[in-house]
Amino acid sequence: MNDGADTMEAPLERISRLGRLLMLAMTAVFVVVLLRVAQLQAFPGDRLAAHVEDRIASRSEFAPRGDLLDRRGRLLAGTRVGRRVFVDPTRFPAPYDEHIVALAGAVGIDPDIVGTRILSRIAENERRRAEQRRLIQYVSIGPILSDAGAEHVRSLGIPGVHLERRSVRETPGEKLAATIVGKVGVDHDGLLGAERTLDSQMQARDGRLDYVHDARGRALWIEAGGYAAPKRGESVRLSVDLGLQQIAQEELMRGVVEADAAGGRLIMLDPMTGEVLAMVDLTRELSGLVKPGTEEAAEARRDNRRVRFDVMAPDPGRLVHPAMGRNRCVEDVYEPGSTFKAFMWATVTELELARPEEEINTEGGRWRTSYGRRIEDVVRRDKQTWADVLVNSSNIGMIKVCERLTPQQMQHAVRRFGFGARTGIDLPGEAVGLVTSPRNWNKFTHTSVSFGYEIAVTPIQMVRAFSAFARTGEMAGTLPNVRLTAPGPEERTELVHRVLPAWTANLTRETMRGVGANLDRRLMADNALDADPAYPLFGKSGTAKIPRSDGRGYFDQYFSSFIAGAPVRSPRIVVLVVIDDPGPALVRARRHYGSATAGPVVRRVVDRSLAYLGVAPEIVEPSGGTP
Amino acid sequence: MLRPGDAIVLCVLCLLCIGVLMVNSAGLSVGGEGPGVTFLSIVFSRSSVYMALAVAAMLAVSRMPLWWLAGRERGAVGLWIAAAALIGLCLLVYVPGVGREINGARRWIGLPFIGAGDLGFQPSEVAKWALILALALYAASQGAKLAQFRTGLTPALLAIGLVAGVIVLEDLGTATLIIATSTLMLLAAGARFAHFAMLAPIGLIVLVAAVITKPYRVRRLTTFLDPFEDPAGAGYHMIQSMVAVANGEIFGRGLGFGLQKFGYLPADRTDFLFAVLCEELGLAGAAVVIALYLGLLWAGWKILLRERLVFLRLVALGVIATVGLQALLNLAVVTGLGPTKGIALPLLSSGGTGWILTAASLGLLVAMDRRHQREELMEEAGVIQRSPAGGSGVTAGSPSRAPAAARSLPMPLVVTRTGSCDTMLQSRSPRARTARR
Repeated sequence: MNDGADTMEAPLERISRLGRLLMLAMTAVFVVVLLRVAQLQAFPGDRLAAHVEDRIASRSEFAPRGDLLDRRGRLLAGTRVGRRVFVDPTRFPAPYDEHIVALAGAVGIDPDIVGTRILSRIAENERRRAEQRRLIQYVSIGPILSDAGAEHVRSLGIPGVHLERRSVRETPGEKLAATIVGKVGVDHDGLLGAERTLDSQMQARDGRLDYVHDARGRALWIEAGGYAAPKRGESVRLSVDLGLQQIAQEELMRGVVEADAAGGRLIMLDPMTGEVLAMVDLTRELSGLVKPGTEEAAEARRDNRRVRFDVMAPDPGRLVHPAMGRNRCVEDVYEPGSTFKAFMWATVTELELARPEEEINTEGGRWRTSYGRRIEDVVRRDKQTWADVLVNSSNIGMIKVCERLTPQQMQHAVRRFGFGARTGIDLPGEAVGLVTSPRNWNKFTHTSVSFGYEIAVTPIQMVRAFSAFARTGEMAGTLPNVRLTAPGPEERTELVHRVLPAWTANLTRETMRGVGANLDRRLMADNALDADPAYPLFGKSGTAKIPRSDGRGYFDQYFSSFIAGAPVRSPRIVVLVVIDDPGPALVRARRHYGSATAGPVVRRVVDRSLAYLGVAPEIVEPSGGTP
Repeated sequence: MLRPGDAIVLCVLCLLCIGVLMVNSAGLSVGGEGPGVTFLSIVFSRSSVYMALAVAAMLAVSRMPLWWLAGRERGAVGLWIAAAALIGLCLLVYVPGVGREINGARRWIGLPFIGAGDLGFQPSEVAKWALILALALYAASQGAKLAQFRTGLTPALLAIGLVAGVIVLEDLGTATLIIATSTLMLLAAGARFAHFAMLAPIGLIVLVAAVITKPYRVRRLTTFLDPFEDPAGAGYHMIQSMVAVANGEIFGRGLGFGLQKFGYLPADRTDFLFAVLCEELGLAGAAVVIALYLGLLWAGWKILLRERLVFLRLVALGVIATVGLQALLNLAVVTGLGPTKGIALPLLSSGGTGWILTAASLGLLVAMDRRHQREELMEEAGVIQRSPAGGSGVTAGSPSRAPAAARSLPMPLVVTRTGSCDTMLQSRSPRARTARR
């Protein structure tokens, strides 16, 4: 029995020994495997990490940008979804000509253009195929299509021809208010105009759906937090009224053409709320202009020949698209000329340095200042009351009385009316204007500023400041906050800082009523109006020579302007018209003045606009004269 | 105290349950027309049926009278007959109408006659387990003769070589596993290391030939060295598998929430199921699975140590080695530690044949443990006694004195002086009765 047991013991023991080795080895390898799993999870290494990608795809849900509306809710700019054709050249079938002609017909563009785009990419793909480079698979064709056009393309059934969804920003208001509306970029970000300044309000937030997908791209599930709903951009109502804008544009264009001017600017403001109701900036292509500083200009000077200089600042963007041009109502400055006298007159009167009935010696219309500067009036009188100085726009009277102001008083007056500071209108690129600094302020400056020279303002600054005279009641003499957006129903008009006592503002307004009466009388005498004036207005004309850009004096060319508020008792609008560079014929005939060029435009705009706004007409007495 | 046999049953059940869950999870698809994966769909899924069959097979085998097997050690003729039968079975895959080709490999035999057209089994799986039994029977009968190259080792090598040679044509992984397990068993049974060392160059040549005759095997080998050289082509399987493992982190994405199974990871329900498991259950899940395998193997090891019969101890070694090595080969592939091979993870990867046969084979270990339990009870009762040599055998007493608890257990085997075996319950074995007379 023992022998047998010994015999059996050897193989059993041998199996155990080998088995033990096997077990230990296998256990060790199992542990190694577990460590390997941990290593792959904790430290996958750069090459593997590059493949450990999220299996998550994103799909965006389109949210349209907010609409831009006029104050009555009419669409100025809106977004719609359109379709555009794109071609995958790798799948575009032969015969190419036949398919290209059919596609071009459906898209509505020249087959040559379509053919060039597609065939050039097909040829390029052949080269890339030979070089084993990635092939071109996207060639966009033509503009955004109408629904019918898209359906037509779809019905062709050409392989490789696809339709893609594109959001389109349409601007129906572009024709009338291009510079106000502005433009958006490819991604519908506001780039210009109100589209830019109101971008944050109108900007939409596309929805986003992050979903886990399988290897074939099919959606599996949405992780927590993987969905964000689309948020449509807020629609914004501008203060601009398309009806008023159209009136303004028509009348300004008429005035510019009649004056043979290089351009014109118009701003209509609601003086009570500060809302811009219309803003037009026109330029006109003129032939035969001479560029200052050129050989031709020098030759003309040598020959003492009168030429018309190109005084308009270059605006290449406007040639590309009206919205891309400068908005000269807020970006470009001009010397206001006599329109500025209203502010000086009010300041002197407020300080009681002159009374309206005080007689001022206006020297027969020709006078030299104490430092020898020659001054002339258009209306030449020996003596005039302080009120008539404003109505007749006497430079001599204004200078003489303004000498009663200290430089500090005059500087303060200029600043408090908001000149030399931005109005804060929601449009990009607003200019500050130019006001001589106290350090450089001298006698010459003091004289010049009295009648609106040596100061540069923007049209928007001008209408805002003039609103101090147009506001009534307790708001008379205060400045409004200029705004481009219509106030909401709950929004209250703010009272901003007072610049004049109410009595001074009312007195100035009444005094300027004479200017309006003179304008109406002249216009009726000249038969320059289509209809009798329907609303009494108060205002001030101004004519300022255009300064040379090199600082060496002035051209014999002018900025002619007229600013007015109407109706006088309870002004609803303030209108400023600037006619840029009336033609030489008018200058020669001395009919280039603001009252003659810009005045008729203001009158027509006032009458049509107030009628449009439903304001009851009043009897206008052209013989009004001074109050 | 949990007996090793019970531990095996528990580990097998756990692994099969995890397998059913993971196979169903990996089977999730997009846009399917059915109601999707639900509790009921899992319960009535094909993998659940396979699990039930596997458990039944394990329990059935665990009650098998081992004396019936243990008394049938045969010489070379028996081994060759078994080898011939297995070769014939494996060659059936090439018979038109019988063999089925899946994913470019002819490894399956269809079973259309039982009413389910897509049912089938892999004959290599049958061969893998059957060869363990045949080899153990042969080795136990040869004893010390195995140390002789010509008369002892060569017949076994020929049988193994032929069976593996047929299998390697379509399944290098299983053939490698068979050769490794068989080599281990022969060495354990008494074959000499020197003989194997002498044959190693030939084996290496055969292995190289097997690799280079199939270009895809060469590609797999080179890909293993640098899978990122062709990430979208040859390296795709391995990279995606490693990506799945790396995605899991500590606790995984959650059961059913893995992503790689959705078309990124090929063979996600079979060979790369462990990658899906790592992604969904993380390092924790991987650790549980590895712990279950280790528990299974060490429980088997304890049974092996208690086994007193050469034949059964060899069977136990073969089963442990096959399960362990197969699991390691699969895990090495999945984690990028080895070249890609078509080898399943035992008891986890989807596959009816694999689950049932593996569970049945582990049932042999359970059967051994049940017999050991009865021996211990009867030994405690003094019915049997350990042999003076130190417990390698037992001697018979009176079976009528066996405790009641032991009566439901298999009869202990009695090792005879001739190296064969007999049972105590002689009335059950006519052969034993004859010998006794």
